[in-house]
Amino acid sequence: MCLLDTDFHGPSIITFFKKNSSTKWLNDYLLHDEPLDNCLEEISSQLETSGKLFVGFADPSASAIETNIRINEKMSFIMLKNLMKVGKHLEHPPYEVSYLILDSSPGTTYGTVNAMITTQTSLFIVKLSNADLLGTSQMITGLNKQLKSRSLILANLIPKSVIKDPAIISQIQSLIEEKFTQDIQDKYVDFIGWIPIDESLIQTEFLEAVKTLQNKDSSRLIYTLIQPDHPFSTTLVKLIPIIFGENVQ
Amino acid sequence: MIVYAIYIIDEGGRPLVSQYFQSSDDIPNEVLFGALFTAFKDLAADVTTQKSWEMKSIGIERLFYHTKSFGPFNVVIVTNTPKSPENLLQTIGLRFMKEHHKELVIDFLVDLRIFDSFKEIIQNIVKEENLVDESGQLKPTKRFSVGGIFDLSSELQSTALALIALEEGTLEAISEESGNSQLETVNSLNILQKMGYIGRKKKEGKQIFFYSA
Repeated sequence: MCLLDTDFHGPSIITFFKKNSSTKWLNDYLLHDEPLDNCLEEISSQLETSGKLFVGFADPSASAIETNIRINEKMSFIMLKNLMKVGKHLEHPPYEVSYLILDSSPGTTYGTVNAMITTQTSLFIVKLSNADLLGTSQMITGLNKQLKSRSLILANLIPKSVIKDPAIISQIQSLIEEKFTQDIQDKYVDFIGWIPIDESLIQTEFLEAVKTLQNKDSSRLIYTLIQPDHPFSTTLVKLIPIIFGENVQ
Repeated sequence: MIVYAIYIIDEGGRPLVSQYFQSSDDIPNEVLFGALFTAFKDLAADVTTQKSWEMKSIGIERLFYHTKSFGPFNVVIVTNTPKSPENLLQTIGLRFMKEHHKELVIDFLVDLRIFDSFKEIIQNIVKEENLVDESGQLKPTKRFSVGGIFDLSSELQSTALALIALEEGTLEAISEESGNSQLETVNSLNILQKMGYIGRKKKEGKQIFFYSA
């Protein structure tokens, strides 16, 4: 599997993994002709999991973000052209990647459009706040009308206590689907489920953030690995086959 | 380099031979070009006061008109690059001189149809060098952009993206890359070509589709 951080406006994958200093940024491949091999890092050993996970990191430096803010149409096409070549490159050794995941920015940046054009499935993760729901609905309406990719919606940060009540869940799910269907009409947008959150997860995230503020060694946690039995993890694992459109082990 | 047209024009601007390799809609016809060519030469001779002045190349939009004088006639080759095709100019000029040196000393009353057979010679020379865009048009005239690709239908989009990933390729390669059938792919390629996004050229005997980067 390969995970590329194409959220060049707010790189975040770097907060989950430790990047080797010799690994180049994904920006260097997409914009500056750096060979892709130099911009990918295999981080499976950090996770102690079976299989391989390659990661391409977006440059979080102020100058790189500034470059991306000023990106023009010509540069965005160069990025698209190079992004199109990634899939083919990763089919071959040493990668032999089965799944390529692009993490993109919220909103309609060039990077997000490139990611949606390039991929087969677009997964929109929304919070159940008014602004996020309306904004995402409008965004998909604007973007998806010309895109062939399958579009899925996943609701995140749903209080665990709410999810326990099937009646409430069913009602809210119907309302969300109605909202998106109304806006997007004939497009293939599937609402696939909910990711619960509880106080313990919020507290863990908060404590890690405090460590960062205190300049202590800190990194974001991958809950499916450290708390596989937590409802957050079990729910997410159940959704994986739906997201990838097949049975994934 | 792609050759779009070749003209042989006498000193007075009269076209003796013209051979198009593209749609004539996209190339100035020989009479118009002959007049333009002579006007340019006269103007340049006036402003530079050099009697021996010789025009070598003019660029108009994406087309480059390269010329070489052979005394009583000029060879003009229209290409897609600013670099002058010196060898081709020389080959065609010398061959024309060899085939028609007797006719060239005759006055203006000569019947121009006697030069028609030279068109086949031009075709053979150009064909040997694989210099012709066989699309029959001057395409691609448009460049792909993220916005342009975004606006394409999903069928055209997948074909365009496959070609972009490959840089250039045969029908078979583009079809394999996009995952669409060859019939679907050829339809999409034809539409994209009509839209001006892609062109065709012949390379090592194979038809290659390409886009303007």
